[in-house]
Amino acid sequence: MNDTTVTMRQFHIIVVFTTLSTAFFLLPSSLIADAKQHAWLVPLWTGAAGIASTLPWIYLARRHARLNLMQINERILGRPFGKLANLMLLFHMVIVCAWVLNNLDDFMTTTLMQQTKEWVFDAAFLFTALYAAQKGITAIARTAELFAPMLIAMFSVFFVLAVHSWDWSQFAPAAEFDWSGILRKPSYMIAFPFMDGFMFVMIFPYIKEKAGANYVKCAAAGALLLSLITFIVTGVLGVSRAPHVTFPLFVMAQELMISSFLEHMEATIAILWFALVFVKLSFTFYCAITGIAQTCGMRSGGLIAVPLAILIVGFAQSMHRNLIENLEWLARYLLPYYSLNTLALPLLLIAVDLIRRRRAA
Amino acid sequence: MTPLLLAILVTAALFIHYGKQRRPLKDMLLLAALSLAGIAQFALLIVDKPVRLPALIAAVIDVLGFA
Repeated sequence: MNDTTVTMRQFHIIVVFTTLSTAFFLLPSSLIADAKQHAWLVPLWTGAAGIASTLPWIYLARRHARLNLMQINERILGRPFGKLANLMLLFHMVIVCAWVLNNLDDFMTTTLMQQTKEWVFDAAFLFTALYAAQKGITAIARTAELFAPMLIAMFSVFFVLAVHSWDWSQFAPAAEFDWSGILRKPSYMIAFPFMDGFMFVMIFPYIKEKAGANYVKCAAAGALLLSLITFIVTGVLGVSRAPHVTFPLFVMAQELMISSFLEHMEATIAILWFALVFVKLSFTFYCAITGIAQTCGMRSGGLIAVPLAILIVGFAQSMHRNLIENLEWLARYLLPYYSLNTLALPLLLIAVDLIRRRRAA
Repeated sequence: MTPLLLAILVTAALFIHYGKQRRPLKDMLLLAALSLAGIAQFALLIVDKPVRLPALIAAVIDVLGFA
């Protein structure tokens, strides 16, 4: 793979896009269902908690500068246990890829192309991401950089136009707080999308300065944007309607009428969303193939990229039987599972690293 | 059935391609293992008994008592 360096601007864009990608299209409706008019508060506190939970990995990356996620594991735990830890993280990356694809095919088959088989979207999208991943992180970073101005401009215009049907009464009563809905029920959002941040340690060696601090800054910006988007969805669609819509931004775009000859902007919004999803998918897939190649001592991940993509497309078909099962799984298992890789594993690594350093001293 | 056939076709093409390049045995074994897993998953999807990763995770978390 042709890895060189990633500029600070490219890194910022990748972090913000990866944090937003599937989350900003899927989460607002379930957040509004849980926290009603105060749903916009949820990304703020879950963002703070989620970003804080990635700090142990950032600490490890600082202590072992120039090493990526897989190399840190093997350096601290030794080869056999390091490889075991690597497998855990690789499994996580594979499941994230499958999940992103699953969200994408759910979206396509329920909105734009109902008759097409899900695997067609998955294969088409993942093989595009595979090509990007094969070209290396620089290619993914440049693609994100290329998309960024277009996405920022188009989404800004979209939100400004959508605010046309704004209703402040949707935020009333402002002083009545359902703390269970704000704190307990949406706690899974700490995990998705914020705890995925540990994957960025894979590209920290390519960032010239203060990768950890910059990651924290951009993930916080992502949390703020998620809060803003949830705020807009609440004000436009309302507390009673938004929870019953799976893709609230899509519905907002459908109902947007700029003039009598320019209406139904949903396809445009969908294409813009695909660009965000593409960045997340290609980045995660890049991390997975690089990780497998390093763990198995291969020269490059090129050889296993296609079979891994086939496997992920297969997994994406069977992520959940229906939407209810998916929501129940997210609420019950997502945070414990993510905590294992994002909190428990790095804390163990820090403990082992400290013990080894003391013994060596 | 179509995705399974496509997966088999692509895998066969990959084996021929990398076989001609005389890649190390370890790499070819990894390629075989991943290809086999992918094809098996598509075959299981046909009989509606695929490996469900979320179910696997849920089972492990339930056993560990974290949920």
